[in-house]
Parts: sequence; C-alpha cells; structure tokens
Amino acid sequence: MMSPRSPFGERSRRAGLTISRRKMLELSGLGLGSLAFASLKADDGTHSGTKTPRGYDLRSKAPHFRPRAKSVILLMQNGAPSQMDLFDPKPELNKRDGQVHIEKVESFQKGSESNKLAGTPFRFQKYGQCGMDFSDQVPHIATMADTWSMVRSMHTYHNNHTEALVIFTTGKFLHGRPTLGSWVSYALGTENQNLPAFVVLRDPTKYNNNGTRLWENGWLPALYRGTEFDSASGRPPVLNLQPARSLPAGLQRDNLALLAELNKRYLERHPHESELEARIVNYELAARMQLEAGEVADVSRETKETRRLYGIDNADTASYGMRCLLARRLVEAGVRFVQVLQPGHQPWDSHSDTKGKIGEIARQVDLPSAGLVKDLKTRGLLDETLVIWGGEFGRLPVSQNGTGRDHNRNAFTLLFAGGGLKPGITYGATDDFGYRAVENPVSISDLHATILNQLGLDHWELTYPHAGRDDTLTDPSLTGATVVEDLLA
Amino acid sequence: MNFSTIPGQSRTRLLASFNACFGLILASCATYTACRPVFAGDGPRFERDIRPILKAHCLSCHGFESRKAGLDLRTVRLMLRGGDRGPVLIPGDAENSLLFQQIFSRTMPLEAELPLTESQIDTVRRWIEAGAAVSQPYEGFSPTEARPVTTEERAFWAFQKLRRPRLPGVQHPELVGSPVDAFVLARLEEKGLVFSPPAAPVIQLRGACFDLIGLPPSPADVDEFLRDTSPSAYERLLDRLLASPHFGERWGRHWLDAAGYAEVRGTDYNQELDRKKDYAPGMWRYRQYVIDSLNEDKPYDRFLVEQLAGDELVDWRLMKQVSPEARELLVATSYLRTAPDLTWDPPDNTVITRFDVLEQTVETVVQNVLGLTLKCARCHTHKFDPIPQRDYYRMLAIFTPAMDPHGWLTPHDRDVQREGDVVHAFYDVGPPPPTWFLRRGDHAAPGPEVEPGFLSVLCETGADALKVEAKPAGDTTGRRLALAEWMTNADTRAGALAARVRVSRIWQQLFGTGLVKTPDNFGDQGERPTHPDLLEWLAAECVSREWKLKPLLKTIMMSSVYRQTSTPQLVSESADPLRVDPDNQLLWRMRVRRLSSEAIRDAMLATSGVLDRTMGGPPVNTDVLADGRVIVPNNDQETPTSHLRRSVYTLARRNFYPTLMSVFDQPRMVAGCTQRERSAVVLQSLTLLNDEFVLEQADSFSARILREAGDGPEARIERAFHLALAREPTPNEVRSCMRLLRQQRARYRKNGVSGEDVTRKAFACLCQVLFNTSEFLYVE
Repeated sequence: MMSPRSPFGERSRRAGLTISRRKMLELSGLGLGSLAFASLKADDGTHSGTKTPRGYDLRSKAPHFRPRAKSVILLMQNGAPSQMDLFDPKPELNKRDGQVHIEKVESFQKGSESNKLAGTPFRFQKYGQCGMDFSDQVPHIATMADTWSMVRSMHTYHNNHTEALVIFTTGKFLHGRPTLGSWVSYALGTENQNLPAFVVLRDPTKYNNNGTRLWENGWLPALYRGTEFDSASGRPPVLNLQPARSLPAGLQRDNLALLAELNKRYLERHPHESELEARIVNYELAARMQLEAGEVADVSRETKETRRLYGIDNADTASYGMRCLLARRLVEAGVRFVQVLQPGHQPWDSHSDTKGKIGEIARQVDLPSAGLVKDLKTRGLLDETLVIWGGEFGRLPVSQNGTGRDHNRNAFTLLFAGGGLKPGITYGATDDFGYRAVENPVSISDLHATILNQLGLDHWELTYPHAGRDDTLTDPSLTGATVVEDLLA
Repeated sequence: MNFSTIPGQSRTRLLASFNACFGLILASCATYTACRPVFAGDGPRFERDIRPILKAHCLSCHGFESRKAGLDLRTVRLMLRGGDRGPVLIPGDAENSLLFQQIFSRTMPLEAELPLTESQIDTVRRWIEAGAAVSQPYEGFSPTEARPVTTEERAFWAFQKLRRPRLPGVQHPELVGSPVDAFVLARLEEKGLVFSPPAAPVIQLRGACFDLIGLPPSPADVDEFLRDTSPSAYERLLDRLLASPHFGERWGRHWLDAAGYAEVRGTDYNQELDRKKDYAPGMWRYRQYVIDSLNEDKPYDRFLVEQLAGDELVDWRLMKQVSPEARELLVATSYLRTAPDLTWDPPDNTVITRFDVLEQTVETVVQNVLGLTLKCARCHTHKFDPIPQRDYYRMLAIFTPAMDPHGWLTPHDRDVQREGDVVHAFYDVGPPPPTWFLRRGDHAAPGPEVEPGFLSVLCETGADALKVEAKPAGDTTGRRLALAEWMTNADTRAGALAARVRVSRIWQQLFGTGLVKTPDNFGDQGERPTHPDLLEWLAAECVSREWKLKPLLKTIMMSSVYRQTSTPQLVSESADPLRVDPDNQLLWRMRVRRLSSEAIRDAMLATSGVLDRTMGGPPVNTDVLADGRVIVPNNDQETPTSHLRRSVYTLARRNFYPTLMSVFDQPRMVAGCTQRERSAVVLQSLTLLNDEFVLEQADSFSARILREAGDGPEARIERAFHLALAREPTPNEVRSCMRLLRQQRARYRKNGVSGEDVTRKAFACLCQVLFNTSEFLYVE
C-alpha cells in the first residue's frame, strides 16, 4: 500500500516533518496543569463556535460580574408538589369544592374528566413578618417565612415527569443537554480542589425518575458531570473511596506517581484529548478526595442541636436530613453545586389521596429543609449560598379519582433562600383556582437565567461551542429567557 | 402453560372466537356506517355533557380497564356498534336505547359505583332524543392528524431510496486500502489533508482485538502477528477474530443495548430484586440467541424478521412438541418483551401502564431500526419529521393483536412455558382487536379506528402505507411479519433507511461516532451525515453483501482510515491538520477510544489469566452490598469460577450493574440505548484504585507474571507490559517500574511481610498501576 511517493515515507519522517517534541509539549501544556485541549482551542479560534470556552478544568474562575452567591443547593422535589395544598391558598377553590370548573383543565392521566374543583384538605396560615402563606403540612418550612422568597407563577411546557424533569435541569426536554450543575461547574470551577465541583446526593435506596440523566454533563466536557455521594449512614460517602483492604501507608502515593508518569507520556502521544487529560486530573482529585471526602462526610462531630435541627435523630427525617446536612457541609467546604434528591422515586406525585400522600412526604422533608436554611443562616452561609426548593411542575385544581390531583404544567410554586434574592417576598400569582400562572409568569429558562445571574454569570454570555454554534443553558433568543429582576435584593 | 396452548383459551375456543368476532366485525360495519353520529344541534353534546357522566360512572367497566358485556362506551361510534346485546344507542329514541334503559331503571351502574343523579339521567335522555349529537367529528381525522406526506418531504436525504455512489477520485490512490478510504480521503484532500501514517502493527492488533472480540490479544497472539511478515497478515488476523466465538459476545452487546435488554420485568428501582415476581427467568435465552446469531453472521434482514415476527414464521401453536427451531424463533421475539412492564403488580395493571408498555415497545423498534423519534407523534403530528399522528396509531395497530391494552396479558401470563423452561415470547393472542387513534395520546379520548399501516413517509404513496400484507405460518395476523419484511426490503425507503442506520452504527462502534452522529435520530432534528456518500455506499454494500455484518466489518477495518495512527504527525504535502480540523471531524487520524465497561472488566480478567470463557446459560449473579456497591460475588454461583466469566453474562438489571461497570457508563436500561455515554469522572479513578475486584485481579496478574516470566525483575516487567499493553516497556519505563518495585518492597518489608510475598505484593502494585493507565483503558 505504501509507495515511495507516499507522504508518510521514511524519508520525510526522518527529515523532521513530524511534530517536534517541543511543539508537542506546548500543545499538551504539561507542567502547567492546563488542559492541552483548552490551549489549542483557545489559541486559534478554530473550534466550532465563535467564543472561547471558559476552560476545561475545575479551578475556581471569576464570574462575569460581582456575584451574590458562590454556591447553589438544589433541593429537588420530584413528582410535583401541590401548590394549592402547600404554598398557594385559594379560597375560591375551597369555596367551590365539588363544583364543575368553568375552564376545562388540561389533564395528563385519566380520572379528572369530571373537571370538578377540589379544595385543599389542609389549613393555611400566614407566617412571619411578611405574612407568607403555608399550609399545615410544612410547619417547619413555614417558620422560615421571612427568609424564603416564594415564586408562585412558575410554569413549564411538558406535562409528564420525565420530560419536565429534563426541562427543569437542562432547559429543554431533548436528551443529552448539560444540566444546570454542569453549567455552573464549567463556568466557575470549584473552590475546593479536594472535592468535585458538582455533587449529587440521592436517596441511597432508590433511584429518582430519570436517574443519572438529571446530573449529566451532556456535551460539556466530562469533568463537569455530577458526582454521586452516598449519604446512607455507615457507608462511605463515595463508593470505593478507600481501598477495599488496608494497605501500607504511602503505598498508593508511589503507585500514583508511576501512574501519572505513564499517563502523561500517553497524553504526549495524544495531545488535546480532553478525556485523557481529565483522567490525569481525576487521579489527582481522587488522591485528595480520599483525604477530604471522608472528613466532609463525617457528621459525628456535629452537635446534638445541629443533628436535631436536621432531624437526624428521627426515623422519618433521618435519611433526607442527612442529605441536607451533607449539603451544608459540602458548600461549607467549597463545593460549587449540590443537588439533593427527594426520598424515593417521585414521592410528590399525588394522583390519589392528596391528604395521605402529601402528609407522608412532607413529614420527611419539611423539617430537614427548614433546618438546612436555618443552619446556613446561623453560620452566615446563606449570604453566599442560593437554596432552591421545588419540583418539575404543579398540580391541578380539579379532583382526580375523587381524592388526588393530576399534573399541571401551567402553574407551580418554588421556594428560594439566600443568594441575594429578596427575603420574605411572594412573587407572581395564579388564577383564583391555582390552575394557571397569570401574574408575572416565570419560565424554567427565566429561572435558569436568574440563578446564573446570582452567581455573577450572564446567561447570554455563558456559552460552549456545540454543533457549530455557541450554545447556552437558556437559549434566550428562542426561549426569551430573562432574569427576574423583581426578585433580586 | 404449554407451548401448544394460548393463555386463558383452548385452541379450539380461540379459533371459534376468532371467527365469531371477525364475522361480527364485518357484519356490524354495515350497521354503524348506516348510523353515523350527527353533529351540531343545540341540545346536549357528547363531549361536553355526556362523556363526563359516562367517565365518572360507566367507563371503568365499559371502556377502560375492561369491556364487560363486550361493551365499550367511550365513543358514540362504539355505542352504535354495541356489545353482546347489540347496539346500546338508537339516536332519536331514548326509550328503546339500552343505554338509557339501563341507567333509567338503575340497573346500571352496579351498586359499587356512584349512582347517576336524576338530572344526569335526564341529560342522557335529552341527548339521545335530540339525535345523540357529537361536536367533534370522531369519524374522521383533522387535517393535521392525518396530513398527507408530500413529495418534498420524501426527498429528505434519509427517506430516499438507496443509491450506490461511485468511488470519488483521489490525489493519493496509494493510500486507498479499501473503497471506504476513497470517500474519506477525498474529503480530506479538499482541505489539503491526508491520512496519518499507519499505526504500529501491535496497536493495529490491539485495536482490532478489542473492536471485534472485546478482549486484549495474548502475548502469543502478538508474537504470531509480528512474526508473520506477509502482506496478508493483518487480513488473516481479521479473519481469525471474525471467526472467534467471542465475536458474538462483543457485537451482540451492541444489539442488546439498542434492544433495551434486561433480565428483569419492571422498572427495577429498588436495589433488592424481587426474584419471584420481577426476575425474568428465561430472558437469557434471548441474550444467547443474539450472540449466536452474530457468531453465525445471520443476515441482518433475517435477524430482524425473526425478532419482530419469529412467532409468525412457524405454526408453533399446532405443534405438540415445539421443535428446537420453532423455540429459537419464539425466543427471538423476546426482543419485543424488553420494555419495563409493571403490570404483574395488580395496582399497576391499569390501561395507562399497559399503553406505556405497548408504546415503548413500538417506539424502541422504530428508534432502533429506523432511527426515528416516533414517540413525538403519540400526542400530536410530529413537529419536525413528516410523521402524522395517525401513522403512530397505524404502527401501534401492527402490535395490538399481540399486546392489547384492553385485553391484556400480564408478563407472567404472556410467557410460554414447558417443562420448567420459560420463553418470554411475543405472539398474537387472538383475533385482532380494534385499534383507536388517541387524541392527544389520551386513551380516554379515542378517535376513529385505524387500520394497521406503515409510516407513510417511507412509502411511495399513502395507499402503499396500508399494504400490511404477509403470509404468516399459523393462525396469526401476519402484521408484524409484514412490518419486518417492509423494513428489510432494500427496494423500499424503509429498507434504505434501516440499512443507513445499521451501517452508521457499525461505523460508530469502530470510530467512536457514527457517520450520522445522532444514532437514534436520522430525522430533521438529527445531525446530517458527515460523509453522505460513504454512508450511502456502505448501506448499498451492506445490502449487496446480503446484510451480513462480518464482510462489512472487514471492508471497513481493512481501510487506511481505520488503520492509521491516532498520534498527530505533520506530513509533507499536508496542511497542519491540528489547525484545519482540530476536532478531527474528517478523520485525518484515528480516534482514541475508551474501552466499554464490559471490555475493561474482561480485559483485567484476561490479563490476569483467570478469565472463565464459558459461554451462554443463565446469568452470573450480582449482589448489592450494604455500602451500596454492586459486585459479582464469588460464592452463590453456578461454578467456582462463574464470577470470572465475561461481563456480558452478569445479571442484566436495569439500574444495578456491578459498580465497576456502572462507573464506566454501563447504560441504565430504562429504554434502548444506541450510544453509550463516555464519561471520565473521578469515581472511575477511585474504583480502579480501591475496588476489591481490581485489587484481586492485580494479585492474580502478579502471580501470573511470577509464574510465567523469568527470575529477573526486568523480564517480569517486560512480561507485565506484554500482557497488559501488548508492547515492550521503554528503558525509561523499566527504570521507573524498578523504582516502584524497590519502594514497595521496602514498604512491605517494613510492614513485616517476608519471603516471596514481598515480591508478589510489590508486583501487584505495578500490575494495578498498569490496569489504571490510560493506555490500558483506551485503544488507538
């Protein structure tokens, strides 16, 4: 196959036409800790977009402008908590309980065909100086009324959990896009080089709907994917964090030194392979994590009061409480984005027995959620941490199967704490029945734009080259995403 | 259940009811076309006034979960058709309408249900008297629901018929090792680029081994290959690998991914597996069927026909003893039984869950075989691709004779059993039930009935789409057989698309990304092919090679583009490829590719010399430990070495694969997966450093080196590199390894280890380091 005319002939290779070692090193950027891929792409602007990516590492990076928050804790409540039973009292709805609603609502499953309004079985009350409304199902969350910012006018565009959760985390329902946590890690890196930038705490016994898809990196580099920490008591925080057997001290350090040498040599042969470079970075991180992750997850020195605050001492709240407590410890240690998953698969999905179902799940998450916010506040961490509490959509004002409520993409409520949002504000409103966001509606892309804004990031400017364009989390030219200025303190 | 019976019915009864029902349907057609529902009018309307009443009081027994008395009250049309006692509605005559009689006399609803109020009964009476009006034309489709597909839409690249492009001319014909090269090189030359030089022979060897059998070459393989200096050495290597029984284990896995293969029935969210109810005991036979089919290089068209309609190829129902061939064909249809099916649990056995199973089954087939996102058309006409919503339900109608949400079999009832053997077969259960178009995808809002049909965009005319015709064996509709024959007929647009999807995915397995980068979306929203003519040529080649995989693989793997190095080199006459094409879109060098989760685990077992190569049989058990790790335990297995078998044989759960595999992107099998993630997360590093399995394999590897290599440490280091990386260590590497061995020996001695153990343990450190290297985890 190889003829003497071949451009690959031995002659041409000897003549020094291959890449020089110096050039190779320059390309791979070794010794500087920077990614070869980055340096190459940054140099010549030949990547598919027009803007230079912010980087390909986890080092802490400056935001676009002065941030109001350094880290985010996302308390996901999969299954769609019912706004009119928790946060958005509707006297008119309660008054007309049992009547056929004048507006035919859009339902998802069967059982709502009679279109009959269903009042809430719970009692509402105003809390705090600001007089924020909460039902008796979330008494502990309610005590923090003056700290929360409540948005009642959230809406999304899909009525099924799977798609709506993907919208909630990535902005669109198409699979394969990066999640919010990945974008934030990519944009800002992390403050603690001994821990991952983006940590996920899920129910250790059960997968959530969509599983790992809710923290995937999509087409962002591999380093920005969420890393699962285990929160089950008695388990290490990360699988295989420590060797399965006890090894002599220093043994692994020497192994890693040889490994780094071999891996760097391999990378020299394959410059600008971001994955190979990520692998080297990951071994360094792994070594450091073995020292620090165990410590950050060790809650044994937390005081009795703190444990009580999170409900660690109570069977109902212990599991979720532990995840909330770990979330605080992680942001305290400098982790950028912590995503906490609710108990079970999608516990808020109350198609029947609103009273029993909401009661059951609220009992597990109410106290720890409030405990987390209280604790962050006491420690002064709420000034630099944005907490978000909520699900992928809301529920219908009409009854399903007599005792439940079907999905409702047209209105739901989210709670925020800290992060430079106005505390005590109740923003936006739904119609008299809680069916549709009618005043100051906020889309998921608006939400994302606002979260990025609080982190000092311009959602138009935070881009990554993908499929020939500079892609963004919010795709503002299509979604019209706008920062919700009224919410900002 | 016996092979010769169908659940719930004896053979004769089934035939009888089949004929009876068929007769009834034909007879009643005449009746209800004569009494078409009327529209307009002022009085009560069906949608607004009557349906809510029926839904609240009647439909759970007559329409949703069941059809008591053969009666379905969901639409006016269905009421006119009636049930066991004939039509229940006579428009204009309430008193003689059975519907009204039953509710007026309070015979219905039965006591357990909510009774109707006086005013509701009166509404029904007034509605019937006024002519039983409907406001929505249930008889027909709206213009968008059934919009015709245009000639322009059929002209979209993916929907065109196959053509066979001519090989383009190139400036460097000496670089063309296979016809494939001409297409790639022509594109490179346009940019002033050429291929990189061929990779070193061992790198080619290692790549070919992992790509074809998923295992590393042994030192003997390396020796044999390097010794053979004849020009055909590489070709003979490919022939050897293609003939290996391990070929099917590797390439079968790709198909199992796309099929959504799992050995559990439900969604598998709980870490404890309910072995009695949720485990599918015979599913492994399908895994074996796939592996065997690939090993014998079964043509893809035949492979598909068997999986979609194996039950229709042979009259197994009449067999007293099912022949091995017939059984194999039934096993093939397990392909259609991979969707999570929760209906074994009574609270989950609802119509909506049943539709979920049916819909996912059909959507996965279309996504896998045709690369189209059919799912979007469930609720509305596809927004991006020319798939009218009606087409979705026509496709559903191909499958409803086997899987009818209104006449459901739970997964256990659907299984075919004999002498303790279970086959998770898919077969027509009885006469074809009616299939309705569902407005907004809502089973509570059925529109007109649909006939089985294909996707009209892939047919020449709208009428062609309805030609669902086949000659099945036995008493079965043959609808799936017709579908399979349509999708594998290379003269149709469907067959052309199926061939394109097939070859793009083959390319993807070898090069990391497909010729179309979105393997499950060849439609408008998917990516366009990077090398359209190459894709077309390969698709045509695939067909002309009788849809066989192995010749096609050989054609691609003999090419210069596949065999080139992945290390960038500047070559004379060429522009700087790193500047012109930094992402290597045009393939001026080979891509570096990480091994799959299975290959990583298997490579460790093979390298350490303990791999148990037993093929087939029930799965190797896995355990979920208290700390959340999933492992392959060494006890509680069929044989003492079962835990050392290849990864494709470990229990196929949806969410709980061994930790070592899941951190390396083993897909969660909630639906078919046509492209695995390729992540590089810190959990991978931690697992390779600390996992018990990796430490054990390092021990075995170390023992093997001490056993097989000479006494000197250099010889042993050399052996370790040969086994793990298929190459010699460089002098620098030997020096570094020697240093590590000295350090670790001293460390172990200090820790009170003595004798041979010191050397063994120190070498285990080196072995583990090799398992962790990028070079071990990647092919070039």
